[in-house]
Amino acid sequence: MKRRDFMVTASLALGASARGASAFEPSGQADTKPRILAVSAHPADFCSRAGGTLIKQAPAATCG
Amino acid sequence: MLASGGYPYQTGAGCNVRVIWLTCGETDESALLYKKRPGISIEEVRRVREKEAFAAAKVVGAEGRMLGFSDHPLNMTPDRMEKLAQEMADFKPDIILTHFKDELTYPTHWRTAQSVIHAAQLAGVSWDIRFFEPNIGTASRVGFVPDEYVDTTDVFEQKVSALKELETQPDLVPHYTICNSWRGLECGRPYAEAFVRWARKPPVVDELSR
Repeated sequence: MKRRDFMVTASLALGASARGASAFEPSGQADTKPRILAVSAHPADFCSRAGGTLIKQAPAATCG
Repeated sequence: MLASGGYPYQTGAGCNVRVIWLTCGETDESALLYKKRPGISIEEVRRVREKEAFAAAKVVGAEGRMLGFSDHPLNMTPDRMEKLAQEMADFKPDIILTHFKDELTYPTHWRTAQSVIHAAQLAGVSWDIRFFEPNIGTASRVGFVPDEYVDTTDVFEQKVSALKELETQPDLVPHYTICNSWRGLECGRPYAEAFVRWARKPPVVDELSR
């Protein structure tokens, strides 16, 4: 039996968005670059769990 | 470009990356600081940890926002929920990464995940939420079964550099070297980070295909 292949990506892929009406109005933004937000309980969590992923998405990684 | 599953993705296309920290970790994750500096005030611990957090974010290439809510217990009052929702509405993320929604073994992480889901709904922003690893060694206990891996092999050394900025937690480097190596083993890469996708957009097809 062939082992099931998991999804492995080079970087995060955009998926579902469910934007709707909200009482919280954004303060305004002009650019259309993808926006990745990590919400971390503690100082280290974002980095230990997703640091590599974020590095690949961030401008610094792109600019080398 | 299409990733597997048919979703468009950006290969290091210069995304806007932001980190929001709910707490400075002054109680749950600063034991070494209290041990090395007996008598240190909690305010000083918060300052040290905040500085470490921003230093790590700089290496990652992300901008940071420290909300500085009290750590353990993390109480997400209505005002704090609104603050988090407003931060989300301001940034308008396409993808949100946060703690695993079922991480009941670590209440601060669990409450963060619940709060993020709630705040995203309040703010009307993306529900494309990816949960990252629960606390090291607890994945099997809390049912964290990854359905997406990101190959981080080519940036692993940079991640280690970022982790080293978090001097209060020196165990992070050996622990997450093992963790990322294990996740890499699971998906056939040298190093990887694992996620569980929460509100993944299901594919719609005309008929079943192989």
